[in-house]
Amino acid sequence: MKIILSLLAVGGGALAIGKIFIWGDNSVGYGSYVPWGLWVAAYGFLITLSAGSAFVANMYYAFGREGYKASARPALLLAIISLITSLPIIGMDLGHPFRGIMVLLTPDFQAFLPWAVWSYVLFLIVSFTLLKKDKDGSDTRLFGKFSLLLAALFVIFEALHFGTVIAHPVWNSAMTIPLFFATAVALGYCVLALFGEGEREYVRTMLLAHLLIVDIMEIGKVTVEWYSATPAMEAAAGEAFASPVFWLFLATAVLLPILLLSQKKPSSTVVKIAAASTIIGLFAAKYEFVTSAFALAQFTELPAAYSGPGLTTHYVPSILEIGVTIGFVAAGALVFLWSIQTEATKQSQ
Amino acid sequence: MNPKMEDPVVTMLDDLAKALKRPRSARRWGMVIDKKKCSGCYACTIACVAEYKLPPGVVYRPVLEEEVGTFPNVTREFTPRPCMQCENPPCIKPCPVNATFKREDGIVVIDYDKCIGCRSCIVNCPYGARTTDLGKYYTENTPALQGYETSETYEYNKSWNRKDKGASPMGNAHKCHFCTNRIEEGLLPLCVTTCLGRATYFGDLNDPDALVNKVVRGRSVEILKKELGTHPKVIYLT
Repeated sequence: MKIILSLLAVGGGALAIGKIFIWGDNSVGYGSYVPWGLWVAAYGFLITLSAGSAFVANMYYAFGREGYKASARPALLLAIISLITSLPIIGMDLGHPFRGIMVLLTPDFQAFLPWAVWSYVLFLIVSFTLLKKDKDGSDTRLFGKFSLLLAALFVIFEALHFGTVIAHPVWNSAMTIPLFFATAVALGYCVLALFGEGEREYVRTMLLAHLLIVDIMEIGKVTVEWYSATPAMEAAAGEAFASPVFWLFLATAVLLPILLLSQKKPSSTVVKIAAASTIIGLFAAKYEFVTSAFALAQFTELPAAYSGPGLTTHYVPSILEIGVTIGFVAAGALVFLWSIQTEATKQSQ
Repeated sequence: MNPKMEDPVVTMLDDLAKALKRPRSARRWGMVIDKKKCSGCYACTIACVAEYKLPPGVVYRPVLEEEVGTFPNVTREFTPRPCMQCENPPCIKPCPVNATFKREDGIVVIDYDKCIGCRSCIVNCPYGARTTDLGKYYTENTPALQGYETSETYEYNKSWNRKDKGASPMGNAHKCHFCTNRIEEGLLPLCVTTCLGRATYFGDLNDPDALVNKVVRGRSVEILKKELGTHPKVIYLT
């Protein structure tokens, strides 16, 4: 497993170096009419996963909930690693990757992105301190609350970054914030199901309940788009229905987990399969959320008015985008596995 | 010469000279496009591409072409679409590093040296008026890149070239800037002077006597996506 992850990480890293120094944006699938694609979706998903993991971890660290104790440390590690993994991915998405640091150093706080970036930095500082406090056996309640607050803030800022875009009615909704929040919490319960050793029935119920909330919101969103007379909304629904990624979401975040979690007393393995399936499905939902908004150009006639690379509403991620995403996520997974195993070894000693 | 016979370009040049005597903060540049006059010749698009040596995928002023009416009463309608230079531009706020901003005279510009290439401004423009420079060349994969692709171009009071892979303006957002360099030298934007049908008017909207304001009087006006509250400074006569 580690060898495969290492190979994927090295491959992704090589592609990333190639993108920065050789190919530039010449080798990507996004452009002017679909400005955000797989990398933005992956970034958004990993941020949400980080916030969800922080939620689960801090149920124990901030509020002392015993049921979350076993999963608290791995969840906090996942929150940190997931967030750190998201940053080079979004860095790759920038036309000038090395200027990304300027969001931190010379921010314009009129935008929501600098608020999010500052929340990430503070979250990482607080969460690393929390890990240390946990290791030392100190009181974690105050830092746990800060960690939770910062995680909530960066999900809000991320949601606002999308929700305030008047150019895309699919996102320009107050519902964007609750959708991102609900997704984060559902992902948090997936993490609890995967790493927790608590009461299986509780985990199952909480995961199912939160998954249903997310599914209702996601399916509700597509239904509203489908019924809408607004061309951009209709086009977004059409794009979703035509995309295998949307059907992947339906299969892995709706049908399969609901079926598995609705069984009478499902085994721990079944709950874990449902959780893993949900994680895949919610990534698909995030991808659809980002890309379907661009199904229609700002004017229907725009793509025909002038042709050139990037002047199309048809987006397919390039091999480079897919490779870099897989590579970076593999690197994150590798660091996470290594952290968990190191912790386990230390504990057993 | 009878003012009625004067080429609108000459009148607009006079208006421009008058406007330039006022402080920048007292000017409010705007554009009026007469759709009844636009013949869809694309001279404006091409002139702009040539002037700024725009690379593949970057365009400042495409012309939208639409068939309107019901057979047999159908016509083709052309809508040149420069940057709307909105009074309330939705592209500015989301820029995380303040690389795009509105000048005192209302023109929305980009600081290429600051732009990180996040494309938030492109996503937020409801007119699709911003494009991204993906670093491509027209003569890529040919024996040699042609000189016009890498030679210097002048935008935002600075020379730029596309010789070095990855250096600005590659990787940046691009947009129409009403030819800021030209208007500061007393010249009209290139799309105005190259318009064969004289369908594009430009001038200081703060000057009631300027041709750009006079041509609107008594005509029906179209403002693109008015409902969004962006208050474009490009309006259309229909």
